[in-house]
Amino acid sequence: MRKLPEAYTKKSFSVPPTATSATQHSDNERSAHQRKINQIHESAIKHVQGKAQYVDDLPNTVNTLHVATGKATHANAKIVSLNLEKVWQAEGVVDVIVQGDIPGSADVSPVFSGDVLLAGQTTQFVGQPIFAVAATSYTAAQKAVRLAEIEYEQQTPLLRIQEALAQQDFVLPTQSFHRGDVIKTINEAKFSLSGELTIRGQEHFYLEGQISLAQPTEDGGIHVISSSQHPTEVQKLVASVLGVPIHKVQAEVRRMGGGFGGKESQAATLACMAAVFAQRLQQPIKYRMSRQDDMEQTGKRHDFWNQYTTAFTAQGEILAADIKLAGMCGCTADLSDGIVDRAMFHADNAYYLPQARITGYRCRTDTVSNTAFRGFGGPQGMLSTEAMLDDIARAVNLDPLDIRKQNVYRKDKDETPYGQKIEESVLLPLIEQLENTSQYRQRREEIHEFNRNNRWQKRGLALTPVKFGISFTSKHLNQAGALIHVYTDGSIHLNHGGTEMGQGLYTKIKQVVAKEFGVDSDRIMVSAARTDKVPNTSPTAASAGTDLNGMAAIDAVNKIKQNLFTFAEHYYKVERERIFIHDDIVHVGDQVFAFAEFIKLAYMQRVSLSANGFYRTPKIGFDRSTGKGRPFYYFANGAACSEVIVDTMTGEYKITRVDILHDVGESINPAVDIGQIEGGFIQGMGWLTTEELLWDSQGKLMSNSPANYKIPTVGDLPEDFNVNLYQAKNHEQNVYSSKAVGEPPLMLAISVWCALRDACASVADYKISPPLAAPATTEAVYHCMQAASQYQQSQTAQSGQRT
Amino acid sequence: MRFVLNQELIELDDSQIDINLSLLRYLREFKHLCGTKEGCASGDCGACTVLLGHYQDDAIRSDKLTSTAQTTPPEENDNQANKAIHYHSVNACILPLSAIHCRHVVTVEHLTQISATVPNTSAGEHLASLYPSQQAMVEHHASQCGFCTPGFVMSLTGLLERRTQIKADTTTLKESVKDCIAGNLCRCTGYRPIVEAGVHMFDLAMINPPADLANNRIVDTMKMLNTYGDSSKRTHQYWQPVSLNEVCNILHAQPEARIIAGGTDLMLEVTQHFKTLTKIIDISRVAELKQITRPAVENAQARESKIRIGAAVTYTELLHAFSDIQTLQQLILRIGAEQVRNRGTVGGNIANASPIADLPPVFLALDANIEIIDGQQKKSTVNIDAFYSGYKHTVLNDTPACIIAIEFNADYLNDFLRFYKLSKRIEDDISSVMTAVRFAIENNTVKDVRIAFGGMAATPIRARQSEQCFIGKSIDDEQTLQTACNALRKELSPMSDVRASAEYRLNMAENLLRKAWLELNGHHLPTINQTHFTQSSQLRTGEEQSHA
Repeated sequence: MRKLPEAYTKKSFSVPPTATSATQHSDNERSAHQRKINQIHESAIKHVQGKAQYVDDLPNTVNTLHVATGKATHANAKIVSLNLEKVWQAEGVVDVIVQGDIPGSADVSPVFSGDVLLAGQTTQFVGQPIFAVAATSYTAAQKAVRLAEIEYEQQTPLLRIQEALAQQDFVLPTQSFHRGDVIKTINEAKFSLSGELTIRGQEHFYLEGQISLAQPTEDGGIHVISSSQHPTEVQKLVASVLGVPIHKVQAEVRRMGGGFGGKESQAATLACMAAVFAQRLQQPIKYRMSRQDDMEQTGKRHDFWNQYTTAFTAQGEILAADIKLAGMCGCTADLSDGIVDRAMFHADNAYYLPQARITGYRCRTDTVSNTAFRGFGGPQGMLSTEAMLDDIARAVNLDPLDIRKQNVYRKDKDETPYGQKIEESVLLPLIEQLENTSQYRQRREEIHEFNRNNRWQKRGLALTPVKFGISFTSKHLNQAGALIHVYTDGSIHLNHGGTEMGQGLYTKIKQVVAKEFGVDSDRIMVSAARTDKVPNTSPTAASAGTDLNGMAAIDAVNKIKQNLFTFAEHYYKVERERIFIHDDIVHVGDQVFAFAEFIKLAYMQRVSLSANGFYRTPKIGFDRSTGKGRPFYYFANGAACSEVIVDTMTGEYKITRVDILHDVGESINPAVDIGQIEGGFIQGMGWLTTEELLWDSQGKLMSNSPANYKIPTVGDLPEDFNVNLYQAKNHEQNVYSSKAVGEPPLMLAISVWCALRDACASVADYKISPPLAAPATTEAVYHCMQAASQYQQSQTAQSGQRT
Repeated sequence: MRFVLNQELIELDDSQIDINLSLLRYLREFKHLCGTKEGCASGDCGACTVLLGHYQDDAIRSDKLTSTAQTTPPEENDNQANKAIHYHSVNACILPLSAIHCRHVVTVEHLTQISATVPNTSAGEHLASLYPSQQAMVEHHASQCGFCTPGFVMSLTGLLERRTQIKADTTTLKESVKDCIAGNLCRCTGYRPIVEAGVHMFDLAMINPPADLANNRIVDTMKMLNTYGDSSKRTHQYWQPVSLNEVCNILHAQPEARIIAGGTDLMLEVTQHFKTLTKIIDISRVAELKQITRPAVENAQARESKIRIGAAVTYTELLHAFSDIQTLQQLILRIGAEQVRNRGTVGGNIANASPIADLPPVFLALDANIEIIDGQQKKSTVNIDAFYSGYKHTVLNDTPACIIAIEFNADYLNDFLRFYKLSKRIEDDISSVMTAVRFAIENNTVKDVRIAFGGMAATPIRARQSEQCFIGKSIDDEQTLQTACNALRKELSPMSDVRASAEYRLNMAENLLRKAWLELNGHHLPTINQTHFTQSSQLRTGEEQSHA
């Protein structure tokens, strides 16, 4: 007789063989508690069956029209003439609009201004929409937009950060904060060094491209179903382009096929375009971008050009650092102010800089406006500092890990350059634990030995930490709402302001509500984020989805429980302390009720069974004028140790082993958290290895399709990949002592870049830190290897001359 | 045209089908089967992966799950009927609907349908309604946003379906899982849980064997289609001839028609550039073009024996036929991921005339001849070196003609051969530099040599001057190598583009020639990106070739 393993016989199979650790296997202890917390993604079964609906999967009504846009072929050019005759005449075309046809505001900027729905007299970047078409099919629309005749008066586009800096061409004013007399210290120091680093951006490549579906309502408004991280902004901007009050627009988001920041501000333009047509034609309008349009027309992670000068002791202790961070914002501000701010807030990464001056430039270029991407500037701020730490290590001839440990935040060296104290002592113990479990020292020796004996292959190793600040740096965004209904059969309906993009937010909030209520999570259904259910929401971003919405949901639960308990107290004359709900059972003194039974009773006794919840993050605030304050509620921490092997002839390489130890506080769902850590790491690894964004000399994106922009595949997965959670609670009163996990793990991948540089440095006997581009493509690694090799040859030649 | 979609027999009037319509758009827009997703519409992401089954009487049954006989009653896995249909994964986004005549299309929805009919076991209702590939994905938390998930499920299902050796060791199993999903992009998970799910699904299938993808009714239908479904009768804009004669007749009558085999490149004109194709000749059903003739190894010494590869042979079929030539096997695995290898053909790779195609340098190194036939049934043979006349231009551009086969001396495979591919990403990427080298050695002297490159000029190119340097020289003469490298730099003219700079390309051409030379001289230079995936770990995909 066949017997199934215990884990597979459960109705809700929630125990992954590898849930709490990617390396531990099915002999894991499977306690009931683990089953409960390692819940599968709330949509997992729908995902694998193809039943989870994305916007493009919703049934089309017969009169749905499809949108495509005519794209500018020149950046920073005047439009001399625009002939749309052939576009109008093309098969299937129903309507064509230009900027002047927008009834309300043509500006669709999220925070500042300058992002226009359709270009006016001049183009801002190659690919910018100049006009839009609504046609009877997607293909008809795409074919039609190719028929426009447009004449341009070309002007030289500004494409490079360095040029923008030289011309002082910024989208927003430069910001800076500092501590101590950095210049004096650097000038007087015995040891100092400088470096610079060009860091390329990154295409989001969410598998589901940008899309919105707009339907006119009978009140002259619009119902828009969008793939957006920010339904409230979609609602607000749709109202603005139509010139109607916000209450006429409802935005709805059930799920996204990936967001990663790319659908925080820039999803709204699709909703707005569809809404304009829907309003004009009183028909449902779908606007789905082709992959190429999506890559050319929506913003990416910012390129950065960073410069650093640092003074340090003979032992490699940092005395001062002067760090300049210049972000390539593209043609408008979009979210760049916050992004460059966050780069500045993370230029210290995990290290105490006794004296520091950190300056952030918001450079304007004639390219698509860059936007949020997982990490929001933090990764770019950190990378050059990690490069700097490696440079110091080579200069004082010590292992880079020793330099990192020496400079990491600790007691009495716990204040960031912007004045926030590091209150937890997690970083150093976490690094040391990983140093041990990854056998860093032993492997370092083995690698030295290997590199001495191998000419054609070199191995590299690096262990780098991450400290990432959690909270929106725009203080007002740190608020959230939730709405909970309990129905008379005891089923619970949950809404909150957050959106699901795969990160498991809905799963976690469901768990939080079940736990706070004391009921089984099967009772709870989480439904689509809608602006008419939870209003004035913040984007699901800054890793803060669970923190904010979880706390708001707890607030709502407690209001309903308050109603229920007050009722029970009076109805049964039992003291409040003896009333509670546990494991789906309501205890009222000595009496017990099934949850559904008790809810029915409460309903009959006219008790309110619905509540909204609200939360605002405490303690935070940053004063830009002084450059001091507490921008972050707390920090999430982690560290990764990566090993690589490089072919010296070609620069080809492979990531052979990665060990990660990451701090998520008390995990609400370890399986989901490990998924975020692994996925974030691989995405960060893509950014720093194979994903190369390239523009040509006229500002056209050359890497505009998956055929020439390469995100990681399964073949890039490290051969040996060990992920573990650091055991510690959040010391702040965050939701169930957990910590945010969305963005921080991306920056663990900096260890891969450092390991590649370490492998190249071996060729120069670790005497220099050879320059390595980011991303470290095969070609870039080859050049780095060559630089190290040339240094070594020049040293040999010199010593030859001396003898 | 007729085909089976999941459980449904579909009959369509050819004259009503837009030949530019992809299978993906048909599924989503006409059948509202929206489980299959569009991620890129260019065959790069695998979100649209479906299985394509074809009926084959004499096919060698992939001995599916028979090794589980000890644990399962024989009646549960001994469905003879299923042996007749072989499945492979394809990208529906670049597959013309018209191409799937007589095929069984399996989408993710089908798995749910057939799993629901499995007798309930102690596994509980949720589990009973999931196919092993789906269940494993759920258990391993292998979906996050879920958009790519159906594509992964279908790729894994394809592997499960065609595997013979369920008891392979975990490492081997893991490598075949990785290979089968290398053409599926996931931006959320980082792949680790998907790989583990892929390994785990075999355990699940052993514990609780899934229903066959085709029940008896479907098999009977497919048999019927196969018997009566003469595709050569289809004459409206999309021709699907079954003999070479017919190809010529159509070529003659429709000189402007485009020839398609797998469509992995041609269809991009439709899905990426929104062009309209008006006439297509699909040569993928022509038996003469599907042959591989490879003399047995012991005869290969005979000078006159030739290896002949039909133009419509897919990369997958090529992989099976030459799995013993390691350097070729490793290259084919990197030409494209499985969905592309299952459709793309040798003839297409040559005829496309892309300067960055992977096989032309290989065939240049093998000094291959290309056999061509035109609309007048006139056959001609041209050496591949004379085939390319300019950027994306070949002798085929001058007259309407079709490649029949490519042929080269069998004993060249016994020479020292090296094929090196450089690209940004290991899997499923286009070469920045492709190098193919063949040294024929006699008494430590270079008797003959071919050095060929992709990505170094407007066409695939032979480095003749460099080759000349080696002739008659001792293989270990380093000065010869240096002279050859210097010659290379003179005769190659690469450009800088999105994949690599001209400078890097030139350096690599030289370094890869050096690498080949070092290996020729017995140095051990391990290849970092070599996959551990081997033929023995892989099951046949069904489209077996006659190895005459």
